[in-house]
Amino acid sequence: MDRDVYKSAFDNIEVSDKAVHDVIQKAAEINSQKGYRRKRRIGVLVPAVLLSIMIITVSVSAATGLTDIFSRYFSQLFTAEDTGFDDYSAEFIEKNAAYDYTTYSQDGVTMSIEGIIGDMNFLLLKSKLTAVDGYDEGTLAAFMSPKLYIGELKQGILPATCYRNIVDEGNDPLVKSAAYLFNYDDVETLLGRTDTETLTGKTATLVIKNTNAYEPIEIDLAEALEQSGEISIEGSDDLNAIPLSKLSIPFGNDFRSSIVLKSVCFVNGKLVLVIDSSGYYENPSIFLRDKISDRIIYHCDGILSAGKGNLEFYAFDIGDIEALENLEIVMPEEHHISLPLSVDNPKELDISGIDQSNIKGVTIESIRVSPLSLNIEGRVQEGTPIVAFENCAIRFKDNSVVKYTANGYYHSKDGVYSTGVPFGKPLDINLMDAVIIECNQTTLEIPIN
Amino acid sequence: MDTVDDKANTVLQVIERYKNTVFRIAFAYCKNRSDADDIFQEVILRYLKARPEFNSEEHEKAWFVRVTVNCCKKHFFSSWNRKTMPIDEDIRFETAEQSDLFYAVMDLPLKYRIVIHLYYYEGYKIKQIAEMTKQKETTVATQLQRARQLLKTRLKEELIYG
Repeated sequence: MDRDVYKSAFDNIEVSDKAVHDVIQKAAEINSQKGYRRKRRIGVLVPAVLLSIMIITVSVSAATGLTDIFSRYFSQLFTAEDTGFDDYSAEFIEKNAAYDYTTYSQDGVTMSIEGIIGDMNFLLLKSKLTAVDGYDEGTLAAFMSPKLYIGELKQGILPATCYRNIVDEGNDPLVKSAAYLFNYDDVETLLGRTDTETLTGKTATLVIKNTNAYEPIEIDLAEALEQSGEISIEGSDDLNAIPLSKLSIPFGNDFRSSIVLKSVCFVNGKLVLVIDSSGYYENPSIFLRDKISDRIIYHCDGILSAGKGNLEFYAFDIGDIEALENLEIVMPEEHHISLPLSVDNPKELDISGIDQSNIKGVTIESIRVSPLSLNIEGRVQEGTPIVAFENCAIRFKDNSVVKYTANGYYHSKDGVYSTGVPFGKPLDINLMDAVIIECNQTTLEIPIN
Repeated sequence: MDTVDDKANTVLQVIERYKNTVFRIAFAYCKNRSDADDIFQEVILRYLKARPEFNSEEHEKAWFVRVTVNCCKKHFFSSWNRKTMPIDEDIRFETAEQSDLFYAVMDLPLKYRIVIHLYYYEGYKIKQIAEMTKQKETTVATQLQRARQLLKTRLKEELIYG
């Protein structure tokens, strides 16, 4: 392809003046704000370093594993074109009440995990957040925004997409019901296809990162600089010119042991930390905190070197070596909750009776249904534009029909087509009568039982 | 010490420098102006909040590209029950060749569009794209190759590989 033609085609795409104007206005507002948010500390002494790994034994089951807590919550959850749904939901929950319960507390905030269900595309986690007097706002915010990673935490892994719904239930104490719908369908590049075969036996890790609370890293910067040999380069901005020392200091004994300080030096009046974080699951941010005032003074996201393997360079605007005595490396607190993930097989529908002659682009090979979603798989016909199955519906045994929209993406890899249609709320398969799929002015109806 | 005016000027310069880079990547991802506008604003605001330090303009640009890709993924996948948005109709092209290519690219699957754009418009190498999109180099290379094959089929012409 001719690069010039491509560039000229996209030169026509320009941001609107309104969007620029709006963001400049917001920028002005941010610039006018100053200082740091004060944390509301509880009265008792809380250990600075809090990392907990809890193992919750969860069988993610199509038939069991729901709590009745879901029932009053689901009516507010993930609303779609399914207004007649609540009766099914309530009945389903009533039949399948079971409990998987655990709690986790920090800085006045308690997260109670009340139930989890999952299928080949989604994991729905219901929790309750309770905050007592003097709770830490940052901790509450962190608990409200967990990320779910499928498989082992390792460099470059992406979290599952999360859709959350948080509802206030009380103010004294502060109680919030929080439901998170994680979609791990989009992490297929890391795991291969996320079907029951690849998910069974894998671990999901819920990561709660508190960017308002920091854990000190036990590295003496001044001593590390001395060990590095006080490398100093003047007159060059080329990070690749920095000679590496034999320094190798891990950031901790836990999961941060995979972040290793490789060199400390000064380049053109800036302190540069050279770090190898190739074993850490994401690109770390490094913060420097003043030991006396306990304030974060510097923050750097790091620059990955193209010329030196996996090393990252963190440059801080610190020209005075003496200043290192009062600075310490800190990183946001992280809490990891490990979820052994097992997914029961969804219901495979009999598609032998459907006429596929009018469907363009895809030959359907399987349709599976679980309480959370519908999964359509097939083969992509070469040279034919793929048509997503945008409109699907479930007809229930009482003849009511609820429509669902495909989640807007699908993946076709090596001729394999796969798309998930989320229900948003758990449905009882036993109450379903048929799946109805609209595609290219053709309607397919596949009986469920 | 920078004055408030200095800071404001710096922000304006950064916005001016990267506004279309960010917007074009977002557009290649979302295929519509409305979502691309949202992503553009989010990226700029992230920059303002993080105020990352850069050693060169190249690093600064790489940061914007990486954050834009992340924001695109977040924005795209967080749109629950999302319906497919039509491509904006008000785009004008000087030649049919530009138009054909543009719509052929827009017709590519999502993961191919972003790789194609970073490679052909921004001129990044496969290794750099892999770092920005957090994928293996081999994955990016394969995506690039498949995207070219699809474009070749759709444009029905011999492509000049860059």
